[in-house]
Amino acid sequence: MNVFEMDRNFVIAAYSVMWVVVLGYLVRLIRKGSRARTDYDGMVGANGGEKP
Amino acid sequence: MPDISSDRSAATPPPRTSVWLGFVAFAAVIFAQTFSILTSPADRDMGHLQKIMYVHVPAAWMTFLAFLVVFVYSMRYLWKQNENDDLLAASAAEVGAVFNGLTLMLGMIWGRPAWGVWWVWDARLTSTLVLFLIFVGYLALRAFVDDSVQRAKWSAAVGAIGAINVPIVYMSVKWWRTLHQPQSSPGTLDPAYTLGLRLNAIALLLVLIYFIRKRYEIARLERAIEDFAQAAAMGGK
Repeated sequence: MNVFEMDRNFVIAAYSVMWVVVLGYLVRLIRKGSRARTDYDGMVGANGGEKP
Repeated sequence: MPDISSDRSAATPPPRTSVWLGFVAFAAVIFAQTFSILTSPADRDMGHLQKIMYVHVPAAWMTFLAFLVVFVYSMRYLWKQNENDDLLAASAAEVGAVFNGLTLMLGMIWGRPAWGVWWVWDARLTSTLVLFLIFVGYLALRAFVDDSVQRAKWSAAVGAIGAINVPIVYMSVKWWRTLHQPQSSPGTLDPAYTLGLRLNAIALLLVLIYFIRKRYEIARLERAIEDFAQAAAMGGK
């Protein structure tokens, strides 16, 4: 493997890590948000539409 | 940053974070990365490794910004005792820890081919790791304290003191002799790389704002659910 190919692999690794971390966190936020919103709406519904 | 923490009581969740902000933020990152990769020439010394700068440096800047938000809202909580300030500081701390971890990983990937080692205990790397550990500790503290007032007070103290490490991290390459190069900024870069760095920083700033808003929305929802549970436990509605 020449130096150029090695450099390219590290660049690809860096961008891949960046996207995995950012998209992974995004998915976590969306899932957590959706679950919290469902729980909250359910509690408000069970409370006759009144908020705490 | 607009004041989004004092609009309503903690029991009332904020409106949903705009999905469009998320789309625009991620589209901006794709555009900025494509533009900078395609237009920047290979560096004389580092060759194509220089392109790692477009993700590593903006990630470090976003870490600093997130912890600045933690500092401001932690101080504000200590001053005004508004629970929403605590929730916003905690949201920024979590997002900041993600960007801090990302900065460390990207730095290691850049360091291996540039320096020949994944890690070296120099001032910049060590102080960045310490910053990361402080905010992991901050998040652990929040997870272990049940009483919301105690949790907010202790978190605000740790957040405000922890964020003092940010200027130490930033200045470490000037104050000590380090293997890490001096700060990369539009002022210290070859003009061929300036626009790409600026575009990537703006794009990642949009992602940072989206993440903090979304995390804050969730924190408010969780707090409102806690209020429901407490009211139910006390025989209320």
